[in-house]
Amino acid sequence: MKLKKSAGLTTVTEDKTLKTFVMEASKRPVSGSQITRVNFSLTENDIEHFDRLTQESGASRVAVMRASLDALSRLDEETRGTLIRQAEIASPKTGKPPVKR
Amino acid sequence: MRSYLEYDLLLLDAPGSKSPEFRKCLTVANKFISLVDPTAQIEINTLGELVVDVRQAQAAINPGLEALIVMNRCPTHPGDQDASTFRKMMNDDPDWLPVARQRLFSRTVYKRAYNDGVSVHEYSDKSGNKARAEIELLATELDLYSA
Repeated sequence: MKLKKSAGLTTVTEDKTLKTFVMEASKRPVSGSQITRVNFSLTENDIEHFDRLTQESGASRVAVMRASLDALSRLDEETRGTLIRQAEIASPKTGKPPVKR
Repeated sequence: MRSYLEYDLLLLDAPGSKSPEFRKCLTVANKFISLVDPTAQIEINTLGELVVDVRQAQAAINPGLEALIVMNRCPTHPGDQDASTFRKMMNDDPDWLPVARQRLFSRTVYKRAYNDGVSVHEYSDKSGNKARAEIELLATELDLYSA
């Protein structure tokens, strides 16, 4: 059996008003306002590539995405631009899939 | 609608988690009772944050608030030491809330009474209703009869 004290015990103060005390409990967690959910499309190859990297590192897809952005930002502007252009050229056209006639 | 002034005792059952309802109750209550199963570490883990809320209410808004932990669903096995250990650990450190001497045991009569839609005080148990006695002893310890 373990008893673990909260760090909040050291912040107890006699100055807190009723309004502040109650309103603090109504606040949403900070983490909820720090992220924005983004939706974008990937090809099967992109997803497989993602999965290979996540399995290799045991990290989440979003961690791989952040690391990729960080790696891109470390390159010089010309190399970065070339890589992004190549990715653009290799991207499939989005929209309605082609119909075989 | 009847006024709360017509009652001797008013019981507010608020969610124990960090919530505005819980904090509002702490600011107006005379007594605060939190039920904890001393054999459940997952319940014990929630006490840290709960104590902060109670201490904050006592420090700034409701200095007369009496707070107490009541051990609930305790095993009836005489060899079980969890409840005694829990009470000693809590009562030895003034940072925590005091724990009542009277504990509530895990008894089938609570479920049977609930099935019949009655309290343990109303439930007729031919083998002797120990739960009823435990509740009465707890109420005496908490000084609820003088309210």
